[in-house]
Amino acid sequence: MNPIVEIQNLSASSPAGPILRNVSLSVSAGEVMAIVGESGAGKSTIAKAILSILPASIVVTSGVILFEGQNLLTLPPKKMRELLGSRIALIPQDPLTSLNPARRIGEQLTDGLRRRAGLSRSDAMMKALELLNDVYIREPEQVLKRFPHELSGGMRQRVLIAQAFSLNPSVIIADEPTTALDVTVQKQVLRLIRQLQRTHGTALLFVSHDMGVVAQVSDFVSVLYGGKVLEQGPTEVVMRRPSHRYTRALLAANPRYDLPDKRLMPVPDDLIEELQREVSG
Amino acid sequence: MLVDARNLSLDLPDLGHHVFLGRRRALRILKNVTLAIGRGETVGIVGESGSGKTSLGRTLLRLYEPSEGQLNFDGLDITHKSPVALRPLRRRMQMIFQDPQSALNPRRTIGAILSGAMHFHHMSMPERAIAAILDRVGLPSGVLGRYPHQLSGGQRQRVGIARAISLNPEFVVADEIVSGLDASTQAQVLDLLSSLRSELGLALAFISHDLSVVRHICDRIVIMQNGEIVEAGNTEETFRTPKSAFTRELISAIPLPFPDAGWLDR
Repeated sequence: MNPIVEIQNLSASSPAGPILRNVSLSVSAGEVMAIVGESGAGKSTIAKAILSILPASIVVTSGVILFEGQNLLTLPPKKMRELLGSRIALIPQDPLTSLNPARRIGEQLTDGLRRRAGLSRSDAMMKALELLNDVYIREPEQVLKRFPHELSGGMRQRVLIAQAFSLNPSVIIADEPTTALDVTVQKQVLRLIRQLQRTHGTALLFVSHDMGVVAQVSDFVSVLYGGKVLEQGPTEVVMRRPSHRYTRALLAANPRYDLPDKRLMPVPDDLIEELQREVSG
Repeated sequence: MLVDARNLSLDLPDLGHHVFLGRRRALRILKNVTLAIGRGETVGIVGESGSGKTSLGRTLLRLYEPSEGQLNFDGLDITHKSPVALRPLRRRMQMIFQDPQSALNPRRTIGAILSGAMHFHHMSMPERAIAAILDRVGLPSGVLGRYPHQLSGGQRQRVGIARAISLNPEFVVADEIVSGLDASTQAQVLDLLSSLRSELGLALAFISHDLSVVRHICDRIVIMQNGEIVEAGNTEETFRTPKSAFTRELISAIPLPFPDAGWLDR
């Protein structure tokens, strides 16, 4: 199957040193590719590079990001803006700071529908109602009139999911979308994302630090350390029979309620030294 | 029992309720909470956001004054003691905070933070004592002259632990102390905490939203929902045969790190 997003040999640097080292990964329609790693691994940098929102201090030094065949890195800003939101969408980590606090949910949801899809005000409102229904928000008519602070964290995240899917993009980048949520709400939100992604056939890039979440939502995984992909493959294989020592170490560090006698092992120092040599070598 | 809370209730002013004059309406944050923690024992306080777990931790330390019920510390009724009367007890009950970045004064060096805490409680603090504590929590002595922002998240949390144990406390409340950390750092901090508590014979209240972590470190757990304890018991038994529907829901919502095709839809 043709990939929707294909990153080839992407490298990026900040003044402090390399941030991404020769990263290659791709995601096709209807698939979920997870990018997993610890803080500082470069997961969010990949997401930002695709969305073309890298901070000025980070420079892409080589590689391409192909979206449906065209290189996003060399696309004029105007073209990029046309793609963002309509063809490429984002589900952010923090639903509170990602919604405009001064505008009602209805206005924020209908913006894209009116400007991008050219719907009339009333058609856009109808569509917004439908979207809120799809994300299982009860009394959607009421919610459209509310401000973000009047909703719970889980509700806000549902609104953002509705917004991400509203223009039926080919790819969605989800950047730690459930990190701020309680576990019970997290499960509902993950189920929702997975379900909408399947019915729309969307390609989903799912950035997370949580091996458990990744195991449950993704078809493929890329394990990142120090800006380098150490291991990549079907989730089933990477999680059950990891080939890289680092992936095994990450799994060993995670507490498991089903294995109470497991001894939690931090990533060993000698492995970290080895990894530093591996990523810079 | 070192810490003994009976039928505690806590009312706090409702900050969402706007009044022109007079008193704000009160909200009942804790309802009839009974919990005892003995020396050398670790009790997990588990719940989702807004369940009252942090408020319970703070009430056990008498940072909040209970509205109803009784709170004993080492046999002494401290339910309504004044701040001055509590001061001699403060050294014996300590807190480790969730976010050491905001709990440590950014303008003071690690050395000043540690000696300041000891100075406040009129403890002598020869440099050797501070060096020994740093060593105990696995920090190099070089951090003494550094500021909190110059340390990594894991190192800052070690400073938070060092600050708490430097006073030789008997009771420690650890509030979500590993929730912002990477798995590897989390494993290190948990390992440190569990060896310290047995060495020092601490009574430890371990507040967390993460049942997997709690299972690894706690002897007993209490599950909170809407300010009430909905389930309490031995950790093993609670996981094996959870009694309340809420506990079962919490456990089944934890994603395990191997693909389980039916999990999302269960």
